[in-house]
Amino acid sequence: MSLLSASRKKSPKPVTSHGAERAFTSPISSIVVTVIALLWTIPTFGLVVTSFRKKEDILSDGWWNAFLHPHFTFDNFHAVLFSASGSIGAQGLIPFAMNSLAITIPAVVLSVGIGLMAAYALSWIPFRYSDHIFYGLFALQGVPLQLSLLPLLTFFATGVKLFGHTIFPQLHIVGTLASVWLPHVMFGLPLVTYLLHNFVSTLPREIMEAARVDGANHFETFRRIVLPLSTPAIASIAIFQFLWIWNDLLVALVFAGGTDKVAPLTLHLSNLGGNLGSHWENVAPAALFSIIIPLIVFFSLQRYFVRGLLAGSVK
Amino acid sequence: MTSSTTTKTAAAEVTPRRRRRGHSFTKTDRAVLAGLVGGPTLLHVLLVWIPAFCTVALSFTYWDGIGGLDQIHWVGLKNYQQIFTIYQDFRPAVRNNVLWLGFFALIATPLGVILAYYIDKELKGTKFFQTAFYLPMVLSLAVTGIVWDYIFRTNGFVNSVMGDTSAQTATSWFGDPNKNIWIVLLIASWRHIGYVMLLYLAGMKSVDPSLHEAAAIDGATAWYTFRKVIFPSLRPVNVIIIVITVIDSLRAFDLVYIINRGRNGLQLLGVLVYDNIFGEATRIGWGSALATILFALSIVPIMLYLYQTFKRDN
Repeated sequence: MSLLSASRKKSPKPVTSHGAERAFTSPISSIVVTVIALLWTIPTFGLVVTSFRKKEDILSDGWWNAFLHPHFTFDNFHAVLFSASGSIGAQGLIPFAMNSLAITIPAVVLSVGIGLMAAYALSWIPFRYSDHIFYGLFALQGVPLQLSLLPLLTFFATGVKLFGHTIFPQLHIVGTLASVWLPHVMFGLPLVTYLLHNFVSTLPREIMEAARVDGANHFETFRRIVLPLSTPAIASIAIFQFLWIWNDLLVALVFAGGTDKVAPLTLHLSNLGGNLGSHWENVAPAALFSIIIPLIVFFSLQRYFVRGLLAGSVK
Repeated sequence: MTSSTTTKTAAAEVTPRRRRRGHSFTKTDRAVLAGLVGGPTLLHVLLVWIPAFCTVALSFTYWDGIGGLDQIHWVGLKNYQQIFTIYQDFRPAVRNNVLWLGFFALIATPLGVILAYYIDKELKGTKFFQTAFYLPMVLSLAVTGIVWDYIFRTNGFVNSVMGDTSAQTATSWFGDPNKNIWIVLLIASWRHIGYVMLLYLAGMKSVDPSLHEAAAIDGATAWYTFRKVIFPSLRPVNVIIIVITVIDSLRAFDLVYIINRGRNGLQLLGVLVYDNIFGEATRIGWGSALATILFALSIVPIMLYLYQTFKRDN
């Protein structure tokens, strides 16, 4: 992808008129940034090239030699996607990709949904402790994932009983997809709510009050005003969450580590990394396959990303 | 531009975040609040805070994770004492975490900000730059590890360029415990810089253009404009970037886990916690104590920020 756009990089610079801007313009800094950007793409470029090389070539030398004796092929993809080759697993990568989706989609939808509702209530229903809750949300980012993992796993497995009363029921979700996405929802909520609150609290007050005067209840206000007006923020935060959850390794290791049945792509890839010796030629195409969906999500919705993420938070 | 000065500048620009709102507080409001805020809060307390508290409690015990809860022995501060005195991986892990934070705060984050500012001013409309810098952010750290392995493995790109790929004499970038942490920091920055850039570009898009113009008319230099006009007006972005920088560097896990399971020069607190609790040893008390130390470290910068904000608000 970067290659395709590389040809366009020499588009004319915008004509600048301000003295301040001219002071910053120099051919040297343009060259520096261009060189940095090119260096930035080398590692990924290497992955792409490697995935299309023949197995013997991958095993014998590095991708930078590919152009000396160019033999490219789709065989590797066929191998990792459809055949039961070595370390990839009996049914190829597709089941793991399905697991990734089945973990990521509910986690994103729920965390953004719940976060948006909480953000609405925190911003538009005044009550005494709303500031405290808001700052509490901020402080919650201080709780490292690692601090809660083991007890949470135990909670899921056995429930919590205190003095004979069940405080937390045994959920019977260990080894299911729910035990993987549920922690993602809980750990993601503080930041999602914090960011959405930044946005929702700056929606025009006049509209909110007009709705109230017209007799709209909270549900209607939320559905007809907050939801549509927040689309850019929702989209961008959803992308962020999508990338975080899709790319997560730690939660997957702890909650899906026991079984391939619910393992997402990242977990499987990290296991492949451990088996590099045996099927080295499979690693690059598998890695490339794993980034297709996040790439599509990110670059198709990038416009929202830039507009929505911080919209409203900068005055 | 260290993270501490960033915090100061950021806090200096507090604007009144919320105004008093007029309408009345009804029974429905109460119910809606309870449902929309109370519900998630309760779940969060149940699934994050109570487990976190349990971990802190477990850090004062000995438990091998086998057998019921009655197998847990209270050992007081012994885990902490042993971690600080005889646990050989602890010091390198703390050193690496601090190094990580310092590298991100002093080099990677400012570089991301500068690149964002430069691209915003000079290279608008060139998708190539954005694609190049955002791409690493889209990759998981699992993929990132694989991608960079081609570059730095013994017979990888760098050694090929340097002309020595023999297993005996070539530099082992990932294997040498004095070098590998720097390689990992380079890789982590590859990703982090794009992150910071994206957030900053998003922020700068929403800065009122008339601020730029006013500064330009006054004859301000680009650097001055950035320091006095752009940077202060981006306080919310700065806060998010500080949080992400601190949290990412203290909880780093994936990358070193992929590379060598966090051993031999790449120890990190996050990995030690995982190894002790979920690894083969299952020293749960010990691992919990490490998690508690990690928690103490990551809460400090956030508390400092909150303290400053509150002091200003009151």
